[in-house]
Amino acid sequence: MTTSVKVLKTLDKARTGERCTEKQWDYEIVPKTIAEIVKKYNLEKTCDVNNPVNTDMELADRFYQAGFEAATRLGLLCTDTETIIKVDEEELLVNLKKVPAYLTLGEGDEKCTISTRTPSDGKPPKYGSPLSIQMNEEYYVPVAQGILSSRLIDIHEGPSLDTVMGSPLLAHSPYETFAGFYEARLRREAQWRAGRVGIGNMLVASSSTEYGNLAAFGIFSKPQIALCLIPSALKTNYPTLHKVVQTLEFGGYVESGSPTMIGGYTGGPEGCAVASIATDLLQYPVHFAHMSGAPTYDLRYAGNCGRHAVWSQTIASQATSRNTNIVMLKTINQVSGPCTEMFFYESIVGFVAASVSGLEFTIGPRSGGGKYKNHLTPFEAWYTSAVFKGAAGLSAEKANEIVKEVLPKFENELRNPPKGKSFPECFNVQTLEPSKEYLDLYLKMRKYAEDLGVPMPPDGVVS
Amino acid sequence: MSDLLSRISDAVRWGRKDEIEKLAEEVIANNIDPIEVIQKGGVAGLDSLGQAFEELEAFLPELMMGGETMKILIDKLSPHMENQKSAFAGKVVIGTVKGDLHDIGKNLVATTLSVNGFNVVDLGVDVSTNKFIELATQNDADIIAMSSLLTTSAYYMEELVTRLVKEDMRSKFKVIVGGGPIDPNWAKTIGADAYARTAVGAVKTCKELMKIEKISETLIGD
Repeated sequence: MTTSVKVLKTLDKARTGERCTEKQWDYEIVPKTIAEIVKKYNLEKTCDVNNPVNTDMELADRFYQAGFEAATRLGLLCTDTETIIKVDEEELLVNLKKVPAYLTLGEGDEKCTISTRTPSDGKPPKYGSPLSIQMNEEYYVPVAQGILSSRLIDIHEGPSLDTVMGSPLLAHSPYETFAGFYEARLRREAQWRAGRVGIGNMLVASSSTEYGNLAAFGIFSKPQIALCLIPSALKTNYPTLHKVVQTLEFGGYVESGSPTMIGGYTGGPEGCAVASIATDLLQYPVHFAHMSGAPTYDLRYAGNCGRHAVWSQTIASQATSRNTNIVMLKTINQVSGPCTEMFFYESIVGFVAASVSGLEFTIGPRSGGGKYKNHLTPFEAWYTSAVFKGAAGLSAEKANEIVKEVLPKFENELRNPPKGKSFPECFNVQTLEPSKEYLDLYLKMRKYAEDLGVPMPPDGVVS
Repeated sequence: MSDLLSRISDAVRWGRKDEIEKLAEEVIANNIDPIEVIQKGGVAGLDSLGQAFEELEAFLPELMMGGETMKILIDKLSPHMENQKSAFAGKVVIGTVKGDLHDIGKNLVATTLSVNGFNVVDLGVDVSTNKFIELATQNDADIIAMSSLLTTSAYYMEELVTRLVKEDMRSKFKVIVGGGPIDPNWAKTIGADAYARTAVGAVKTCKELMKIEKISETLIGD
């Protein structure tokens, strides 16, 4: 039986499962169940904002047990059928034994294996870049070329577009299908210019639907990672399942998941950690995911570099990495923009905490929260990848010390962060020379990270 | 009376819908000024809820329950506010635009508008331009509020404004936009009336758009 045939079981469950409206799910079933489980495992008020990187691994394991129970009690709601896709305990245990512990993509020199890690693992995690920040069409290739010119970048995701050859890229329209092909061709151009033809790709940034996903498989024939993002934690839908079927049938890798929100349906940092673990655990049994992606964001500022979110994401990553072989992707969502000190501070906090907590993979940067068009440059990608890899092997205690040192420098600005500068303001778009202002800041902040105790690997371009 | 206001405040804070109905009846039976009850009872409850949200003691589901409880209170007392301005700050039709299935930000804005006195009609996610216009007309809405987390869906915001102009309906509705990639420039470019970055910003802006006396100064949810 091929894996895509197995998806039929999920589709059947979605068709015949217990009925539940989305409103009941969001406002009654999920909050009530998560709150009960948090209480049952004595996890209430365990979030320690004075020590944002958790150092108590027994507590992390308790969170894992809670997340496991949440996964089996809840399952995922399919929003198209308004039914619950349940996964019982035995099924979950069997699936966790089968979950892939690694995935390999890329060709020749670019072959890259993303494999499971544990907290404080000395093996550096892998980094994909950039993270779908919207660019003008004329900047797409130069910025991607610049980012890929550092070997710290292992996987290419590409920025995103909002036009295709001048026409608006309308969601759920044939423009999106066209954009899938178009963006894939632009990526190949950028990869060629950067001398990285065989690098593995995550598909495709400019189309969030199944149309663009399908289109890109026509251009990249080798195994790539498909982004099968679910609408929110503990849910799935038909567009996601379309992508899963396509991806498995084409021999690609499935990455699926969605952020849990502090302040949202799953409650505070403790409830979010439990929901995040449950979401990670359910991605293989339901979506046959090779990689799951359930980060934690704070709804109050739509980022995750503040104390509550760092703690929540840290303990969820520790829990899952200590108890399973799941390959996780969790994003670090900076809210400040390029060419600001705050961006670097946020990045140190987010990536040091993530690296020491067993995370295998991330894609970034998320300069300016991904909000501002053209606010993406190579420096953010090089810096964040260097911190993420450099922090591998640090203890949780050391990471906590670093995070505590840096957080006060920016946490009061999280709700009103600086927008920063755009790509053409920071780099010469033709020659890819950085401005003196940004180069000086970048080098200063590299030294700052090193002085804090993060061994920063060179970017191979300016450092 | 202070005991009654305190019980109303608690009922809103904790989202006790059954209790608020009985308390509203008590207000009517005792001929107490409804506006004072809403402001000193209901709004005080919302203040407390807002503080709890800030301190991560209350979350989106509790905000929604508080909002629904406040709406019941306003609904019950409105018929008894003769010669006084309607307790509702305005009617808002809200949704996430076509092609976009993200809902949490839109839900937060809808809930925050509701708890701050707006009558909110939530159309959900993946809402077509036609549906926005049809439901805004049907509900006699004052404001159409559109959310998008995807740049590729944001074009449908432009489509809606263009349709309103073409169909000679632009003056009937105020249009406000928001969401991850949306900024004031985009709002200006497409001819929307306003942009809001946060849920609280949306409340402030909608009140400005309505040019009405504020039902309260309370703004929660940011």
